[in-house]
Amino acid sequence: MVTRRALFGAGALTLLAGCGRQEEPEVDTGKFLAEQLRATQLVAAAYAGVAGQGRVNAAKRVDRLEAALRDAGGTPGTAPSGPAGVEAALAAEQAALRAHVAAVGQLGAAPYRVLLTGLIADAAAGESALLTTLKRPPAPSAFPGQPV
Amino acid sequence: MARRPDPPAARGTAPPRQSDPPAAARRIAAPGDVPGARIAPGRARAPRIAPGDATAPRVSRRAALRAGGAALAATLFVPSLASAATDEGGLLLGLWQREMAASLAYDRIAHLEPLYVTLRGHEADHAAAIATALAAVGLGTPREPKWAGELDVSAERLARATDTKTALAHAVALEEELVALYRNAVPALPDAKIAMTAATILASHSQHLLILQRQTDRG
Repeated sequence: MVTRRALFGAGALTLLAGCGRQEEPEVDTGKFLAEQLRATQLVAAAYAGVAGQGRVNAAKRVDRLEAALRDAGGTPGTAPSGPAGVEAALAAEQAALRAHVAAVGQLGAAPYRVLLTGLIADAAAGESALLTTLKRPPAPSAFPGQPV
Repeated sequence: MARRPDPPAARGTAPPRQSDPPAAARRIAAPGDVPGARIAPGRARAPRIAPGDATAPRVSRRAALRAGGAALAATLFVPSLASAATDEGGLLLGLWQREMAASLAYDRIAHLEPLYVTLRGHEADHAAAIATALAAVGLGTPREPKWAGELDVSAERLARATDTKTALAHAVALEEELVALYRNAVPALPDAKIAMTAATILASHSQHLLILQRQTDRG
């Protein structure tokens, strides 16, 4: 026979068990970092033949992401090849910026957010620099990188 | 990431009180002002009975157990919500104030350079987005600053600039501060959507900074 006291005790324990932090949804950190890395590798590849510091800057971002991916237990993939040139670099920077902003919503841990804010600042500046080269308005949006 | 507190609907979403900014500020710090909290701290207190007081109402073990359970639940549950709400609200309020100040400062020097008109508009857009985030965490929008003396130091310096070279130098300094501010803020924002919005604003300030630095190099 189950007493009322036992039922109450079980209810109290259930309540307490539900009072802690909610379980975070499972996030495959390695997969997210690999996606950020791939997007940034495409940026670096697209700067081939483009004058300025863009390629060096993108290569540094690739290094940071490779290190973060290794720290997370992943293995950086081979750099993908893609189109090169100013327009291609602009498209790649914009795509990478959108990917970094989206990742902020998925990776809540502070070290990843810190990594992403650095990538966002650099990708956004790269976008502006390329827009200037193309003689277009260098800051066409108040919210660069927002999901399309 | 911790689940967001419930929406502020239960606490009422009164329109922002333009004439009473300190009230909004006080709401942030109020320790009992916890959105979504379902356990009132006052209810978690066990009945007080003086030892040997025969006139005191008898408290059953069940009632004591219930009160103890509620107190424990309040300890586990309420402080984390209060802390998250206070930190996020305070952070957003600070971002809103900086954006409003930057917008006003660019407005004051807009006649010096057409770029500042664009930047004024962007900062106003950022402030509006942050005001939406403030509402999402149950806070109103404070009164907008109207005078240079109400701004933070960097924005005030920019607002008071009278020539192009000085304005450019102060604009660079201001945008450097805003980039640093958002780089610190984004990791501290628990809500994913608010953090993403802040991330796009960081991107915007990074672009402003690059554009202004290039103007400095040319000048």
